[in-house]
Amino acid sequence: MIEIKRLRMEEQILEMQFPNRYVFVGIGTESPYVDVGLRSNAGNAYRIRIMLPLDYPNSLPKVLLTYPQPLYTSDAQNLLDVGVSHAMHTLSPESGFIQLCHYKQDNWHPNVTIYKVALKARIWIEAYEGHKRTGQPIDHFVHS
Amino acid sequence: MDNNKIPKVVQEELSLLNNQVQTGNEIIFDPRSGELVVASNKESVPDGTVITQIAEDGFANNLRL
Repeated sequence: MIEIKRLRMEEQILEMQFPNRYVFVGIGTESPYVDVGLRSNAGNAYRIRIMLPLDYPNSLPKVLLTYPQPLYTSDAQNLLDVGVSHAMHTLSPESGFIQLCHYKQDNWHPNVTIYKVALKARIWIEAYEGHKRTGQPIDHFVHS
Repeated sequence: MDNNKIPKVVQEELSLLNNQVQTGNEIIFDPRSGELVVASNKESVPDGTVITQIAEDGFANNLRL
């Protein structure tokens, strides 16, 4: 079970950095997560779901992109159909949503916060919009 | 929109960072607007978080997961 003290600390940080743009869901259940609303520099709205493992922060969460759906590549392919892609920094879809790559296992440690995971997703979103603008894959903008 | 917040400017800065080109700039998350900002120093974005290092750390290589 995730420690309440840790969740309060996470909430304090999110409240400072994403005020009124996040919500904790299912805390105390088997499937807790945090929904965070993000907006690209172009003004497009996105929503991510950060799935918290029950031993969080000892292991890293999964990050799903839940809005907008569907999301297309520059050549009009549904990103859900792309699935695992090194070039697009996506993992296998989960629950019908695109799963984003974020922290490497080697770079993960319990001091990494939900806020920093959300920032990774924010970077991914800007890289995705760069991909849409130029046709270059996401790994043209961010590397592994 | 300020030049340093224009999507193309931010995306090109990410690309330069990705290719290890030193520009002397940082990419900063501005919590007030939710935007990414290209700036020469952190002080230009009060309360901002420098994300340059987070981006430089890279993203998980899916082949290893």
